[in-house]
Amino acid sequence: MLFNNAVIPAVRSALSEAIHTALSSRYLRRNEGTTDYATIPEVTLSGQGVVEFDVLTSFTTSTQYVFDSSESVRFFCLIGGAGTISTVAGLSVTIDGGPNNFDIRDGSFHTVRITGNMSGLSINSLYQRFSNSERFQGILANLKIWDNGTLIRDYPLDDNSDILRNRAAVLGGELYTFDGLTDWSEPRSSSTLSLNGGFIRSTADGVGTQGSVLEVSGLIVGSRLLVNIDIDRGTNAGQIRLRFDSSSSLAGGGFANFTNPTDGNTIAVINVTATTMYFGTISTGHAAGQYHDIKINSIHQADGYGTVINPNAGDWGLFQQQVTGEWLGQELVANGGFDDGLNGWTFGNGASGSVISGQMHMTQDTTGNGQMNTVVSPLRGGLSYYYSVNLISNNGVRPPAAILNNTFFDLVEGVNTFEINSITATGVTAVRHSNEAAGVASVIDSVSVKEVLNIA
Amino acid sequence: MIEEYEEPKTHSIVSCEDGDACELRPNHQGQLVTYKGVTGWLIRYVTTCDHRLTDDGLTLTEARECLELNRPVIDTVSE
Repeated sequence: MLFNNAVIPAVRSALSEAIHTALSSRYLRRNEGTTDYATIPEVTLSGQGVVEFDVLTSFTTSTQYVFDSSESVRFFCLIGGAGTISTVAGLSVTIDGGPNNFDIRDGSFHTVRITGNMSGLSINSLYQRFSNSERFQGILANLKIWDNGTLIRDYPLDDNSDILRNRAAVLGGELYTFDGLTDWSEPRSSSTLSLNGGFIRSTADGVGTQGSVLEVSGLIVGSRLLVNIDIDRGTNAGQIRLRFDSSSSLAGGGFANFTNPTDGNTIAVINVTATTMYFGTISTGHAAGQYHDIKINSIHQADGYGTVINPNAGDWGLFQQQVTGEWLGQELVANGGFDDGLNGWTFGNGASGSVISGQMHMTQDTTGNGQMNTVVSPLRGGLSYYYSVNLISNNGVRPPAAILNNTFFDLVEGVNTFEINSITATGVTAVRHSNEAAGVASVIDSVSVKEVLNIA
Repeated sequence: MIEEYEEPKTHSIVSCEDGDACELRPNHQGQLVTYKGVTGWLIRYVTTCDHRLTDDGLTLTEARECLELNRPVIDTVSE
């Protein structure tokens, strides 16, 4: 036996903790619905299929597409004016296991399941209509596609990255191992290649186009590659473009541009169009002797991987699932526990504050609606937030109020939690006395604002 | 005592003319728009480079209005 009884409980405990953490915490991506969307390698179904996903939106102004295709036989899925799901005629739709007959745009998660004969139907874009419009505003998660009983696509959409992994396909083996300048060449015969540690250095022979290119053979046409590349510019001149092309001169196929100071790491998914392809850099505007470095960290075949187009870093948020099912986002109050003293808090209307033993003591110096404020960021219009504050004590005549974006809640002693819907602006959270006399004081701790995602 | 906070800027319109086009970040594709008298790429971040065609970044409300004004005609077709 590998483990004795004394070890097994500890192992079980560690496993339980790891599994619990994995189940209860994840990243979710909110599609803004302006210019952002995602592409996935086209998938065409061949028979009886199932498409399932979790969706959350509160956007009701117009039609929004969850997924679609630019192919002639489109597999589209949209949320229409009545808030129900519309898709290709003949397919069946259930919401949360029941009928597709109610408005799902309530800011809560719903599980959508589409079934039926999907032979010939294609999907290649998420969050938008094929014509780059009617984009989805909300959260999409756990998109799964089965074809004839086989799971062919599985996008958890928890990547915290512009790259959307497909769990239905195993990531391929490493296709590149650093071996000096082996397999590297000049794309335009206008630079000199050398090594700088693990980097390939391309030094300009003169003004013109310089670069370095790696030949990778044995690829599968139609597959996708996940590449991880570092760029380090030796000078601030010119620009550098990462390219992936079927010609060693890197005539086209750019997938990333670098201008000072955006050097660094790029992870990208690119399409394979030939069995032998070339990775590398094309730089312009460099004088003789100026250089740039490129380092390929890894290349893997990554079938089915998608890409977020026009992303922003703030799209992704880490959420923690509560025992009651809803998901809470990250803390938005920077110093709500007053562990950093008064930092971030301001006072007005005759109030002042001091932090004693990690708790805020807000004291009324003159009669008035004394108030303590801190900026909460980022808040977004149309979303829901939990606002909680622990009122430890108060000696005023009236209950103090918690305020978020001009919405007032009376506080009682103890932990107070409120849900606020449809926030319309970024703003301030505050605690306020209500026309109290000098000498009135409140002791406050644990001011917290978190985005909340409800479940149906 | 409640202070007013301006909605954060979220988008830029940048030049798309050949020879003076703004270089975009990885995975960004400029969408050609005309808005408030300028024509350029609408991009989903605020740039401070010389290619920016508007005085400041667009708010989210302005970005949505811009997209609505530049909505493709084909989208009148319903499913």
